Amino acid sequence: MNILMLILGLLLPAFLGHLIVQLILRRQKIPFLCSVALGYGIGTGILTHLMLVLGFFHIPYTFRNITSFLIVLAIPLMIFFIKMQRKSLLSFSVTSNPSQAKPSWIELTLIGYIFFQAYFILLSASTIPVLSWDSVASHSFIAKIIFYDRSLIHHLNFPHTDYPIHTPLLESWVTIAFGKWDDIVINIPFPLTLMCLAIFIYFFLIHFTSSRWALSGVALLLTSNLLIYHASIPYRDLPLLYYSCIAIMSLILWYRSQEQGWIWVAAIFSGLGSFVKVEGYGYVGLHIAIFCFLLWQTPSQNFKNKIFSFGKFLLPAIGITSIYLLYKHFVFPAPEISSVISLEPGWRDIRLALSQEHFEHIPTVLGLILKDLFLSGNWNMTWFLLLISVWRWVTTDTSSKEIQVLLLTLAFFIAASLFLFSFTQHYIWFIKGTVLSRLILHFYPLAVILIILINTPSKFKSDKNI
Amino acid sequence: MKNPSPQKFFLLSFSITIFIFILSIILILNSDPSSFKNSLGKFLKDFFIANYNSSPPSHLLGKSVLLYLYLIIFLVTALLKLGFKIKGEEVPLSKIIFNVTLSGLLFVTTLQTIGIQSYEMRILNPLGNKSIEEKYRVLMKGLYQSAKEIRTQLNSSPYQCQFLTDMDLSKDPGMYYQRFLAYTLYPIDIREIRKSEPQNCLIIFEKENARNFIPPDYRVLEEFDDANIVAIKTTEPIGL
Repeated sequence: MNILMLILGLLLPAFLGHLIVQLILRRQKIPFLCSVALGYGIGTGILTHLMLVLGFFHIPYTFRNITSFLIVLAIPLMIFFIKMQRKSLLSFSVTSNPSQAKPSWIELTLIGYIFFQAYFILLSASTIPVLSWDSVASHSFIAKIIFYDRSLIHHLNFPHTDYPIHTPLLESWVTIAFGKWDDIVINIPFPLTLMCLAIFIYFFLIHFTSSRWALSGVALLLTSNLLIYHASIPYRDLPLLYYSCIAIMSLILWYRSQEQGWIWVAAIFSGLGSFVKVEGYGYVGLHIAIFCFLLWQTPSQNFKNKIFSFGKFLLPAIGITSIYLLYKHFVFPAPEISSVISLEPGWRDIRLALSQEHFEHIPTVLGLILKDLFLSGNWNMTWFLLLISVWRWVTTDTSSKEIQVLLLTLAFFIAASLFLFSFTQHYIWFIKGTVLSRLILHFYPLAVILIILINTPSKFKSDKNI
Repeated sequence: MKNPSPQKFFLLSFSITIFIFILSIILILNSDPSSFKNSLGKFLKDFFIANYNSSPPSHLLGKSVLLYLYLIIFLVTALLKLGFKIKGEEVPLSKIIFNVTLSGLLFVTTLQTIGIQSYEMRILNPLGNKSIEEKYRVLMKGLYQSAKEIRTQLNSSPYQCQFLTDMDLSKDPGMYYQRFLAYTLYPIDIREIRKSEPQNCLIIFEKENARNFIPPDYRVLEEFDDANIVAIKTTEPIGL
């Protein structure tokens, strides 16, 4: 019975998200799996925001209460979904290039490798209980508090009080659905998150390339030790990279297809990312910058349409981001926040300093970033392969806007890391070695996508008439 | 000028890179033949190290194995470029280095897969059929046992406890131990989550002469040893 409730507790948000994706992208032929991969993120994001609102109004977190609200949200969507005339108005489709042929031995090998890694992730997630530092000290501990309280009544006393709480709420939800606290069950959302990310990356790549290249991308993604380990433990970094990278990929799909639905998807994912980690707020800004760049590079739209499209992105992204900020505004009295921050000085805020001493940090920080990218055990040889690929790209064809955007995004991430760690008090955390690799993890999938897009056969680079 | 076929070209790059890499590994690890097997085992095992902050690389002579691989990639690329030039075949340098790098990636991925298998056999499989409590006992040893005993004494009830210890809670391992105990013990609260409620329990953990720190209005529930005691207020029932 517990297992059934747990399955229902995960399926219901994913179904709700799937309905929303189908409605947003109703003019597209979105494959079911791709829709579910997006729907899982949207659905769990809605779920945790719903829990936040219920917590605000002191409505207890019971399975019945939460599922009732989810069902109430799903019913009108379902009715609209059934009534909706599904017409494909655009030639664009994420399945525009399906491989009907029998898989080659290379594809079979890649599939075998992907399943091997997936098996390992599931085995690890279902074997090792909560142990990792941040889980024990922060989000899984908070999840346990929420599980026992069935509310956010002690939110002001949570560790890292003002931190976003998507992950703890999601962890507490799976245990509420399961009916008892379980140190293994709370791992479940994390392999699912990676699975959804991998599925979406596959469909993203297959749009630009072939099945073989798309599978290569997913396989390459799973060669990262850090990523596959993070998929088996309850940490915040994987959900954040899932939201942030899908937001970026959706923006690229919008640029490619000019299908307005992708703007909504990108905006929703961008906003939901801000509820996972504080870095998510910064990533919302990054997504806005990317969108502005892409809008600027879209000559087919006039200025008025560009403003309209910009609003379409900005409103949901900022709107979703504002929910938790508003919640904090009403729940946290100002003196409480400052007292919390003063207890643990300066790890959540950013204090900029431009003294000579801070400039001297640059070589150390740059050296450690390069060491992490190229010599650590985190990323296999992905970053070196990217370097070689970029060299190939520079010497052959530099016209692709998608590649330009991804490269600019990566360059921004690395430059921002360099700046953040050199000129702020976060240098201490950097030197301790606890944050850098996890920060790189947030944009690692973009490196994989870039490698595939750059090295893919030339079809994608000339195929601009969508 | 003619071009080699992509498949032949990749196979050539792959064979040469892997040959030189394996040769280098054997030569380096075999510098002490008596411990070759152990060194090789550790070398392969280290291709997957589970760490949530950063996964360290496998090492050869104290340096990341990837460093050697990059050197070999440049060497093989130079050799192939020279070879093609002598044969009169025109292959762009970027294409050669890409193929050689891909060969290196495949090889590292193979070694990583072996490392993952090793992790499965060493860490995951022995825990496979155990209950969560048994897993924690294996993974956290005495610390989990202490938490379990405290929980039993307090009947897992939502006590609001003061936590006293000689461990340095400002850094690891003390910091982690305290967090782990807090996580495991909850709803017994030792991190002031329900600080609005009156304190009604005292957990003295790894503190010398623990008895000296028990206030008069507390009674000892269990004295595990001189450094570890659980006490509750005299007015409180056992198991709220």
